[in-house]
Amino acid sequence: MEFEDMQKIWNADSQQFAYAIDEDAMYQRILAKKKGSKRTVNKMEWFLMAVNVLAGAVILGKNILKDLHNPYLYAMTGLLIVASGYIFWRRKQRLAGENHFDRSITGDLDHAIRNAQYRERLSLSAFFYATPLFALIFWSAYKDNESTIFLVGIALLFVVTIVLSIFEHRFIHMRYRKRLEKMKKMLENG
Amino acid sequence: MTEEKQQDILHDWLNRHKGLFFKVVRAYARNEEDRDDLFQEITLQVWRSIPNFRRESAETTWIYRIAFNTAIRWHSKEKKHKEGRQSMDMAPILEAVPEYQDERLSWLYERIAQLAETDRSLCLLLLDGFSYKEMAQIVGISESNVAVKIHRIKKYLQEQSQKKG
Repeated sequence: MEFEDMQKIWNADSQQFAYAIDEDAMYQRILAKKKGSKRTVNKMEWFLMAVNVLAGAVILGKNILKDLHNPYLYAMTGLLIVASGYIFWRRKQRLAGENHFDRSITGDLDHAIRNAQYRERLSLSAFFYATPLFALIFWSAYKDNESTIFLVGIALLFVVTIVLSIFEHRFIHMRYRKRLEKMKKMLENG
Repeated sequence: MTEEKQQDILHDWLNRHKGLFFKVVRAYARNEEDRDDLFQEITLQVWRSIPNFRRESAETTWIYRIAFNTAIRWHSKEKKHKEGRQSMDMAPILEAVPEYQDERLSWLYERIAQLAETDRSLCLLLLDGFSYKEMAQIVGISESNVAVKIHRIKKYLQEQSQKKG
């Protein structure tokens, strides 16, 4: 069969009628997905900001209301608020760059890669920021003469957090970004 | 733009270009459930894109670009149904019409499915008669790169056809 014959088969009207669409069900699903599919990055940013601000406020409130005036707790509050501000700033930068991609498939892939890189960096920054935060929590607990079991518990929680954040970083965000980059390479170089 | 207006435009596009949607879905999804999933995803993305459509390009070019991009990324998610598994929770949106199923076309789709996902988009555009320039714009690669890939795709299809006899 010559290529022109394949094109004739391809252009047959049957392609247009190969499927029947249940449009009512389709619109219902579109609307349902629209409601339920706020972007992952968006959710991640708001969640991190809210958790940081809330945790900072609770620690600060406790420190002031209970008349503790513990400098480590003040430092922890500061760290949490700074982290929240940093995420907000990165988010603003990300949103500003949203429309700077051309409208081709490679342009869309570039956009997806940039979003994946952003998520990767966000998970990496959470990893770096968890270390001083846990150090402050640990030191504060130690100074308050908390039990050894309590201190071991904090250390274990820290280890679990780090392991999970490494897992998220490497096996979710990095892997996804690499897959997109591979696709772009295939598209450009074949 | 209101949701109603968006819905009207999608309805109009589906009426006039549904063949295009079906082509992409058949080229990228292997079984009926995956086709249903992918069709939903493509219609959702096309629906979302409607407020951004500025008529700088033809409707078909716009829809193809979104459909391909959705299909390529959907394909890479590796979250497909296992062959034969039935979705119990939702009725399908797409229903194959048996009298319009063509054996030669199915053979062609099977061959297209063997191509890398990024090459499938070019193959569909080629069969639909898009020029190299248009293909280069939709895919975002140079015309010479398109020419090289198209040459390879045509050669592959012809070899497959000869094997079939």
